[in-house]
Amino acid sequence: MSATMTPPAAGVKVRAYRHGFGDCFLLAFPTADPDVAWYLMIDCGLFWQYKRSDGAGIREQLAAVAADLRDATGGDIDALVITHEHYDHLGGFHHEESLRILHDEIHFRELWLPWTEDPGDDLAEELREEADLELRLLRRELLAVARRMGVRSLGVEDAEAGEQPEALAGLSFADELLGFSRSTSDALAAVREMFEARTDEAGDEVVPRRPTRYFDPGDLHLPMGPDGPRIWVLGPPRSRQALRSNERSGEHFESGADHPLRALDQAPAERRLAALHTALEGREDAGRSDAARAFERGVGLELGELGEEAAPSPELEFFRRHYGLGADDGNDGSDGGMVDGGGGAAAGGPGEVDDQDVEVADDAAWRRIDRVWLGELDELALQYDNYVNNTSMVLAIAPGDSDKVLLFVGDAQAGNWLSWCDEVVRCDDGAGGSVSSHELLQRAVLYKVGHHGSHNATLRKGVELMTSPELVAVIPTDEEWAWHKRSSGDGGWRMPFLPIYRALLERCRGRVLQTDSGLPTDKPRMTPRDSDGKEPFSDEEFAESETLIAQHAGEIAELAARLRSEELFFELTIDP
Amino acid sequence: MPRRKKADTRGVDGAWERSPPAPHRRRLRVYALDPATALEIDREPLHAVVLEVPWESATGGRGSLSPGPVGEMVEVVDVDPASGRFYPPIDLDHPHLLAQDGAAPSTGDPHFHQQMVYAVAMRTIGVFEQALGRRALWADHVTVDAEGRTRRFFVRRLRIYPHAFRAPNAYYSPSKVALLFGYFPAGEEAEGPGVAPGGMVYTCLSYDIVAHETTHALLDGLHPRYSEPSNPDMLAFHEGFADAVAIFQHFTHREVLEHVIERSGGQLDQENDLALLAVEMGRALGHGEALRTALQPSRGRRRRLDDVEEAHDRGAILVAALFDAFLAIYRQRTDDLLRIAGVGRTGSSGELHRDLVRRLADEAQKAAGHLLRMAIRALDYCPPVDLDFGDYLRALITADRDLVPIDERNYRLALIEAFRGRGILARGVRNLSEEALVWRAPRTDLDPARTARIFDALESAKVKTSVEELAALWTLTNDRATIWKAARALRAKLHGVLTRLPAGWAREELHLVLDEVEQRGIHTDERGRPSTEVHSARVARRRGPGDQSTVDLVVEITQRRRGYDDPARQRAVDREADAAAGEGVPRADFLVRSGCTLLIDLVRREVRYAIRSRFPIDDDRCLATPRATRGAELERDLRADARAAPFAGRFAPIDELGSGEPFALLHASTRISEAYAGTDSEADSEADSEATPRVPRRAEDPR
Repeated sequence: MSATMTPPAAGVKVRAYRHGFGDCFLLAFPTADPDVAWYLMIDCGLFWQYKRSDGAGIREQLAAVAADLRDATGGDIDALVITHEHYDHLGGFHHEESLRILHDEIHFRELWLPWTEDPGDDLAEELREEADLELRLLRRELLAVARRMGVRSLGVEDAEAGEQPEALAGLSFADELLGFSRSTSDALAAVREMFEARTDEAGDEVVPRRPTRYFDPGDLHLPMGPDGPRIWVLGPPRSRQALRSNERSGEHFESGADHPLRALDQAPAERRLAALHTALEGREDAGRSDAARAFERGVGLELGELGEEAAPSPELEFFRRHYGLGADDGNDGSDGGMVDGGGGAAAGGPGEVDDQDVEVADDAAWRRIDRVWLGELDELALQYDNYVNNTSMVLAIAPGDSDKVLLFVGDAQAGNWLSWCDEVVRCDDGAGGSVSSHELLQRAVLYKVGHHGSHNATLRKGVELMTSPELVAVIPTDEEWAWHKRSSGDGGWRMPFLPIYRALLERCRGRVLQTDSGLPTDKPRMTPRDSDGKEPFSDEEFAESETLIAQHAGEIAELAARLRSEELFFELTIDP
Repeated sequence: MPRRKKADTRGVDGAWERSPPAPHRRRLRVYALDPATALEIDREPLHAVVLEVPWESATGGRGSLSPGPVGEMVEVVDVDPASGRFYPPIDLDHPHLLAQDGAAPSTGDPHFHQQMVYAVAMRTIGVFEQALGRRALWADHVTVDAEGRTRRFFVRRLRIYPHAFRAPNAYYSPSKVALLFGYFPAGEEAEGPGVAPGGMVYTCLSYDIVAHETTHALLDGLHPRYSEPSNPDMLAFHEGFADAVAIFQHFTHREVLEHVIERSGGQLDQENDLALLAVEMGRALGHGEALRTALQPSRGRRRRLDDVEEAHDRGAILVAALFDAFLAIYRQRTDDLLRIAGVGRTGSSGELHRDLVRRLADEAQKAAGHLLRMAIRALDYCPPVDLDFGDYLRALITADRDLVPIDERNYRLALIEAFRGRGILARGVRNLSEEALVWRAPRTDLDPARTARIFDALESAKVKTSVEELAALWTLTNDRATIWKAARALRAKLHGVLTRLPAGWAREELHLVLDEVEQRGIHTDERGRPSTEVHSARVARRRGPGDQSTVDLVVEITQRRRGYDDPARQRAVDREADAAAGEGVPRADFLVRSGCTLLIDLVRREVRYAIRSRFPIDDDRCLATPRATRGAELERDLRADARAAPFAGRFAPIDELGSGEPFALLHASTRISEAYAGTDSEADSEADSEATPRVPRRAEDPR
């Protein structure tokens, strides 16, 4: 079997990599010359702490993908799309092993990025400054919390991707975010660097600079002219509000029957976040005067200096006695932290104390509040993370000889989706007329499921518009790994989210492909009760999915027949 | 500042014969409402008031007080992790502060903040203790060790953190037995007098917020199971009750009250400062005039219970009902005064006479005080678990009838009418008459001989002596640890007696199941009988025959059962009769509790009331409401997670997170607290077995 990925005579061939919890896709289009293919690559990354169940690290996984990309294309890729700046979409450009292959052994002709990455775009510039500010503030606040918890530095600053950071490991999402956001921006810088001119030792240009294109919603791009593939850009929307919106009532797939509480007003949460934002900004703007401190500078004592080494003082004595020194270990007090009642300040006389007689100690660690602020920071970190997902470039791609559409949505969330499935984006149809985003969705025969199938990256309305009887959904995920992923002490991630999976089964007539387990018939049932996370899915909900799979056994078998299954990828040809 | 030794009240040479007696009260200045209203010129009387709190001091008195303030009931620890500061404690015994009613109101001085939270919390505790006629106890700290054994610990003081985090919120944390107050700079949407974008807002300087959160803590100490959302009213009750206590305290500030009466021409049913809750916070968040109001809504159709679902909204209906009752009582008490003064109900022309204002204020203050005490006293007449607003109405009526047998002022009628007007109905009651609403006594006529044996058993266990001791301790001692121990001993004693009640009678009349049960979901003891927790034993005073004050024993008994979201699963777990012995029962999705509160007159040998939950624990119908309520909560939980994407589920409640706390002032994300689902509730439930501390128990569920 030749390593080369040859395009079909008509239509398009899609390779979906199965390297783990991350995205990488390669599309091969035919050209006028039957020996030449036109290759489009979309993303290449893995979640930064991903580890496959067989122990393979992300370095090896990404290197294997890079090597395959090289071999499949003969080292010549016509366009590279980076949908958004997350590690699971561009980590391949961060690790030495995979980057070496991508950088040295593959010639990329163009780089395509969403408008949000355009350095010349005013709105993009504004949004980037805002986001940078958030990250800086988060880092500073988090460092302060970490110090008070007795952690000297944020482990994530130095942790390599693929490793567990040491410091606040598993405690704080904000910490994790800082860790991968740095590696991620390094990766994007490496991508951009690849497209710069390369010179040899003598200083002569050996590879010229290659273009980076930035796309706006509504754009139609014809990379090979009128007869080649048509690429429509639907998102990200040019609206700060939309980019900051990651949820909207009633738009999502949800579990269980309809509940009257569905339409609850979530405004307080948004307001809270906004206020938190103001608080942090206030601190930044005021520079050294710290406008968001509770009091003027100089009021009170520096908390970080009230350690064992501090000079004795009545203040320290009070602090030691009523709050306690040392790190809050997060223990809920199940062990220790108690003294006998006899030792308490006002318990009865010595003779009255029996061994069951206990009173909570004044300095019990479980009553401390060092971590409360961490929780607030985490909410901000999540908001930031959602925002980045929302900057995903959304592409509707049609081969030159067909009206069928392949929909790649990156990890777009509500604000992005709504801008093209609730509202309408009008595009040039390449034939003198126009086409609406809704029409493009109706023509979709392949849907790259957003964000590994998470519950808020596939909107109900969008899926309802995908009415083609040929529709196939591809979910890049590692469900089992996600299931056991722990972040802040609570249960794993549900990716794919069962109600979405079920809706896709229905819409695609069973043709839902997961990059980990493959066809629905091979999908393991992630039984919730085996995990220690709580789980809102009932047995009925699982049963419904299983019924759908049984109903569509024929369609699934038909998909299986035209699917090329390799260890590293699935390959599917879309006929015109 | 150096901590002073016990103050020397004698002269240098020790020649003074006697020291002056300790005062009863300590006077401390606080904001009447909050700093924003204190900035309004035309609300001058609202700026600051002096609160009188019980005298605690290093020099003697009811208890000790040291810098913090750290007293017998509360301790203020001013640690501010968000700003990285620790603010040294205020010493209220400093002569300079003693001489001027404490520190002067100031937003910029943490010492004043500490003083204000201390004063308002103490005042709120005082209101409770006065109404119940006994010392208040905080919720226990419950731990589960590695072997699954639970222990309870006495928490002497409520911890108060005046500057706990930087966000517009505040909450009582049951897991820390602490109040956490946030602070935040007002946002762009801030609008109204006294607030400006960027201006710092401290929730600990809002009288209402401090009173509200302290009430959560007091209620949790009395009814720990009321934080379990077993029906839609459960969390709402906590919220509404806390708001009501805060609002009715407004009427104790005489200057404020007279000011409002003067401005409103004696009418209190129009929007006014007394009915507003957390004014500054409301303005800072752009909510309008206040965070919440007792007049629901101020315009338009009256909101009724079935119009709303969220906990704070439902709670607001309870507040509105209580406030409606207050207004009716106030009107009734003041009609004559207004007629004498020639002032019509529709509003007066010109200013009221100063004397009339004072008399009207007297009446308003009395009515509010009575209503507040009724509201608190009713807590002793509530079921131990799964309360709804209708139950609470019945508790209000019964409790008041015990104290004031003849309702000359028609308070009870006013309450019944107000609750009816807000759509709050009592289930299982034929009509809304007082007679129908009063809780009933269990029937004993069927088998008087057997029920008489209850009292024989109580007598032989010397329960009466214990109760009398406890009643005495509760009024006399300052050391609440002694009370706590005595109550625990009494609980253990009662457990022994009550689990031997005639089973048929207990199930029928008390909804207590004492026989072996088949459903495996029910938590049972080693003999297959539902395990029983005597989760509270206390004394309640009332006006007995001949106007004498007598004491009733209040006992709360509960049983519990594992609930599953999926009814089929529930059936499977419950009916697997032939499951191998020792095989674990699957982890529950939620817990269902049922039980009853008994008010027992030990002198007259009668159970006066049996206040039961809806169904006995072995009746499958007891599962329906908790399941549906949990379904609705989970729905919201999921929605909250949606905000916490990208990785659904990862941020389900972190205990320390304000959003995971059941009693946050504003619910950031309406998640079920961890305490109600999954691991914690199981652990928590094991704590129940504590009721029989001396009997070593086999580890029940080998999961």
